[in-house]
Formats: sequence, structure tokens, C-alpha cells
Amino acid sequence: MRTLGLLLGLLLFLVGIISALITAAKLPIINTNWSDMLLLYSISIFFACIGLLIYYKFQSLQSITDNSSCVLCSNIAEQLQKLISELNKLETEIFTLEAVEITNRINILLNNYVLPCSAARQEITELLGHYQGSEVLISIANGERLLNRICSAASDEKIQEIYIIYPKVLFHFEEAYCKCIHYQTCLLNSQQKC
Amino acid sequence: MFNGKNNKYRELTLITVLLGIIQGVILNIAFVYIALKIGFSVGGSAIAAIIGYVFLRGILREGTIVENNINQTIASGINSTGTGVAFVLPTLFLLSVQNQNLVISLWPLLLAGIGGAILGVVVIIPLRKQLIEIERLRFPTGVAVATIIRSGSVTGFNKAKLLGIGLLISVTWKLLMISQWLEIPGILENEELNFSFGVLPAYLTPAIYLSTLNFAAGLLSGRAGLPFFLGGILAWWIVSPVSVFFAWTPELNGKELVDFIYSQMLRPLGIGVLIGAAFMEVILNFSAVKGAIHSLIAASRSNNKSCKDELSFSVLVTGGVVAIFFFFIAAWSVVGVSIGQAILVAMLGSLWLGLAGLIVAQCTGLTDISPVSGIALISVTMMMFALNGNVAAAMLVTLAIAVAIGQSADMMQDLKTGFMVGSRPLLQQIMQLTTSWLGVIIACIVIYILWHGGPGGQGGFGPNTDLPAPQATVLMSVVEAVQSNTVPVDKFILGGIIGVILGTAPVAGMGVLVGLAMYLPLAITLGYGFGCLTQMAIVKKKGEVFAENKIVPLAAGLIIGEALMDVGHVVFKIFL
Repeated sequence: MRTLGLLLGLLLFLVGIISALITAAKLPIINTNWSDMLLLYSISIFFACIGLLIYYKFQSLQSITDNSSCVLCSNIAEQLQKLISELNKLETEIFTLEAVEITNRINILLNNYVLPCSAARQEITELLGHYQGSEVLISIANGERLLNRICSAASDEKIQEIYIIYPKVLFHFEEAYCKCIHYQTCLLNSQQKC
Repeated sequence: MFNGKNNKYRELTLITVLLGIIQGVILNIAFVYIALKIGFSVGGSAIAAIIGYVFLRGILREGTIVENNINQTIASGINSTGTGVAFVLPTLFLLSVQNQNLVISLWPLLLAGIGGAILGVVVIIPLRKQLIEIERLRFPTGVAVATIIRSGSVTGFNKAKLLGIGLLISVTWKLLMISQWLEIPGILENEELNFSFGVLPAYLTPAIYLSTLNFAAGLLSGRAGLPFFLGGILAWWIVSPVSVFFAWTPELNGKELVDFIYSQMLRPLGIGVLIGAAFMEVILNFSAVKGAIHSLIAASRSNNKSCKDELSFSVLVTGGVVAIFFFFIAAWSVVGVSIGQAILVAMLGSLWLGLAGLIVAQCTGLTDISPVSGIALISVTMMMFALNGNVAAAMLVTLAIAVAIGQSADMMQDLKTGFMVGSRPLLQQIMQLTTSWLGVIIACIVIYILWHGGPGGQGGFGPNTDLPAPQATVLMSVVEAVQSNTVPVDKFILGGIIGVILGTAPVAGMGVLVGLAMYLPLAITLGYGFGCLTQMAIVKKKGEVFAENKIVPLAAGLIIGEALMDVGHVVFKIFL
């Protein structure tokens, strides 16, 4: 039923938008400002809006009834926890490694833990809410930028910069992890109240 | 283990600033001239990054990756302001020939341009987190420049190889296209492959633009760029044939019919969709932008210097107020503009500029294509309406807006590069804000000198001269359209409403991409879409990590190769 509702909403939206674009393309009648397709255009826009409303209604029903937000939070938190533990391991040996090895190790961390979190950005902002989702994503991105800086510093053979930056990298990923856990707890509480 | 180079990490140094400024000035002069000669300019980021790499790492042997990022930020900032000036200022000179009452004074133009350069940077900074960290827009040129900057490092060898392969393919392909060896009349002409097979009607525009840059931009965007491709299909394979079927078009054939559908129907509708969608995105992302502004304020209040990764909110507000004041003074100094109109224009222009900056930043972030002429059309229309048809004042504000949107897009490209190499955004923002205005002065002086170098002290460029200034001719036709009241306002409004609805759709960036697709010829959209589909197929077969590590450097090479060949070809045409 839910999938059907989502599909119906999407279909109405698409038909409405295509029809609105077609009718909007017609040139105005001579000596007037608007074309004679204005009524049809308005009806198309109305259907597109109704389609969107139906889509979002069924989508919100789905997110209330299943616990996908909590599952997502828990997945992201798990990824971040693994990343933090890997970063802690790397911290103990980073200053003994060659530049190439440092970059390789950081690339592995980026590919295995950071990229999957960033790839789920749409789901994160949809399920956690725009503000909360953005907070998590920004903390992850800050950590990612600093990991990139470590790669650059390693390539330039500037070990002092790695000393300075490494604790900040950990701070940002720990911040993202804490935010995830906090929002997960809030979501669980609100679901229990429901 | 490291071999002892443990000194401080060089990032913002005097030598980098000087190198960036010198490169920016040279690129600005060259590209302003190129814009007057052939009608379009080329981004200078890649060239600046390559020269910076050779100079800082090759000659000085102490430059760092992040230092080169600062160098190319400064150079491209100064260069891109020149592009905005070269788009608008020649129009004003050409209009002054037709209209003897049009008095051109350099000072208001400089003030407006400098105001635009400042405002373009300060309005886009609070959106950095939204566009780069949350939406993670691709900014193809930014990615390409990051790949160049890193390519010479000990760890970037594999990526450098792929970059080199991409560059070689792109250069070879462009050479074949320029030399016209592969040209077959009716099938392959002007770098476009026609696949009508003599069957498909012209109004479907069955052609694909064979640009490696275009294809590579699609390769970098992948699934995120798909709405752009689908928007083009919708415009040209659904709206266009339906319009012809219902006889909504005059009885034209071939190219004339295509031109009519494009200029009278799809393009203005696309501009409306673009603006509506961008407006909606501002509203929908308001909480995130508000959050970003709050974090800027919080960072400004913090005493911890390491927290300050971006320009403080107070600096942004001060910059904004100064720029708006510049607009006001510039507009007020134009003959026939009252103080009330000057205030209105300064406020309205700044608001529009903020939205236009977001539109252009999003478009370049998603596709590397910037709808500058569409923005200029809306700007001229709005300003001439607000100023009772005062052309000089309207063009002055349009100049500021053209400079500002160029700055917004360039700042975001550079910040994307900075994100990928780990630079501090604060330093990039400071340098862009403090140096880019130089480009306005240089470009104005160059254009002023070229104009007065003509017979009798004027007419140094324009139709029937060595410097035809094609962009100025286009903008003049826009001014004439506004003056004769033939601007398709209905299309802007109807498209705007569609844009607002598309902006609320569950696919991020859908409205802006569909609008941009309608604004551009299908040949470009198809080339880009082919790149998107190729990337999606590779990701499906080889995974996201493979695409990130192999496809990104290859695509960067394709982009840089074509950009360099374009510059080389133009220089060849002009001087040889």
C-alpha cells in the first residue's frame, strides 16, 4: 500500500511537471501577455503539487512506522566507531611510516569508512532531519578535509604538521560519532512516546 | 620514515601571493583580449596550478601542495573578475556609439565592479558547508586542479599517470577536431556528431557535442548529474516535438525552427526554472545555512585560533555593507538616477546577486557550466525596470553582478580544490577577498585602452573590427529587447513556478539541473549525460572506490587537456 502510494505520488508529480512544461512553452496570444494554455498549465501545476504531497505523506508514514532512522544512525555510528579505532591504531605508528604508506593507509580509511558515510548523505538528511543530518555530515567532512591535509603534509614530508593535525582529525570524527549516538537516542525516545 | 624536513608547513607565503598576483594579472589581460576576440573566456585555475607547480616545487624546491592551492586561488580570482568585466563593459562602449547621451565614466564602473568582487565572495562563503560538505557537489574543474596539485607528490604517481593518459587522449582528440580531419559534411561538423541518419527531424536536435571536457564533467558527476541529462531529453524530445505537433511554432524548417524553439521557448523557460529552483533551495536549506552562519558567529567569538577555519561573520557583514555602499555610490553617480533609485538598486541588486551567486555556484558545481548570459538577461531586465530604462545605470549593476557571480563560482571551485588537498578555507577566503578586486581594475583599463585605440579615439572593438566582441553584441540585443518590451516575462514566471516545485522534489539539485538543461543546446547535455551513464556503469561493475581512484584523475586529465588546447588554439588563431 505504501509503495503504491509513493508510486502514485511520483507518477502524478511527473505527469504534472511534464504537462506544465509543455503548456508553459506556448507563446502568448498576440497583444496579450499569456498563452491560451494558462488554465491547462495551472491544472498541471496543481496535479504536480498533489503528487508531491502524496509522495511525502507516504514517505513520512514509512519513516514513522519502520525504524530506518535508528538503523541508519546505528550503521553510521558503527562505521565511525571503527574509523576512530583504526585512527587510534594508526596514531601509534604513523611517525614511523614512509609518506607513501601514510597516504595509502589514509586512503584505505577514506574509502572504507568515510566515503560510505558521505555516500549516504541524502538518507542522513532525510531521516535525521536537515539540521541534525547536516551537523553529522559537516563533522565528518571536517575530519575528511584534515585527513586530506595529512596526506598532503606526508607528501611534502612535513611531519610537524601531522603532529598538529592528527588530534583534530580524531576530534571531528568523535564529534560526528557523539552526534549520531545523541540523535539515535532522541529518535528512540520519540518512537517510544509514539 | 621521514628524512628530517620537519619545519613549519608552508601555506600562505609572500612568494605564493606574489606569484598568484602576477599570474592573475597576466591571465586577466590575456583572457580579456581573448573574450573580445572570440566571445568566450577560459578558466585560469588549471594553468595557474601547473605554473605554480613548476615554479614552487620545480624551481624554488620548497613549495607545498597547500601553498600551490593558495597560488591558484589568487590567480584564478583575479582572472575571473576580468571575465565578468569583459562580458558587460564592451556592451556599454558599443551602446555609447548608438546613443550619444550615454556618458561613460570609469570610476562608477570600477566601484561597482569592486563591490561585485567583494560581494560575490562574502555571499557564497556561508554556503561552503552546504555545497561542498553536505551536498558534496563535484565542481569538475576544482577536482581537476586538485589532481594536478597533488600529481607531483611521491604518493600521487599512479594518479598522475592516469591524469597524463587523460590529458594525452584529450589533446589528441582536440587536435583531430581542430584540424577537421574527421569532418564529414552533415555528420561530423564543428565538433558535433549528427545522428539524425536523414530520418529524425531537426527539431529533435539529434546531435552530440564531442567534447572530452563535457564528457569528463559527466564522468565526475555520475548519478547526481542525471537530472541534467533527463532535463535535456524532456526539453528537446518531448516539449519541442509536442510544440511542433500542435503548430505552436511558425512555419519554419531546419535550423531556423530549432533556433526559434530554443530562443523563444526553451531557453527563457529554462532561465525561469533555474531561478525558481534556486530560490526554493535557499528556502529549503535555510536551516543548514542558518546553522552555518551560527557556526561562523560562534567561531568568531571563540578565542581558539584553530577553530577559525572560515572568515568571521563580522568580516562578511562588513564586506557586504561596504560592497552595497559601493553599489549605491556607483549607481547614484550615474546621470538621471535619484537617491531613492540608487538605494533601491543597491538593495535589490545585492539580493539578486546573492541568489544569482548560488545559481551559478550550483550549476558549476554540478556541471562546470555557468549560465552567465541568462543571469545577465534577468539582471538587465530587473534593473532597467527599477531605473526607468536608464541603460547606463542598469549596465553598471549588471557589470557588478557578472563580476560577482564569476567570483562566487570561482571561490567555490577553489574551496573544493582546497577541501581535497586539505587547505585551510580561511586563508583561501582571505586571499580571494583581498586580491580579486585587482582584476576589475586591470580588465577595465585594458578594455578602456583597447576602445580608445580605435580610429578617432573610439571604436577599438566591436562588429567589423579585429576584436568583434561577440558577447557584447549578444548583451546589446538583450538591452534592445528590454527597451522594446519583448522580454519573455511569461516564460520566466511560468518557468519560475515549475522551478519552485522541482526544487521541492525528492531529488537534490533537480530543479537547477533541469533548468540548466533547458537553457543549453541538447548537444552539450547529451555529451554530459553520456559521461554520467558511463560513470554509473563503471561504479556498478567496479565499485565506488575504483571510480574515485581511477576515473577521477582520468577525467581531470580530460578536462585539463581540452582547457589547455582551447587556450593554445586561441593564441594560435590570434597571433599566427
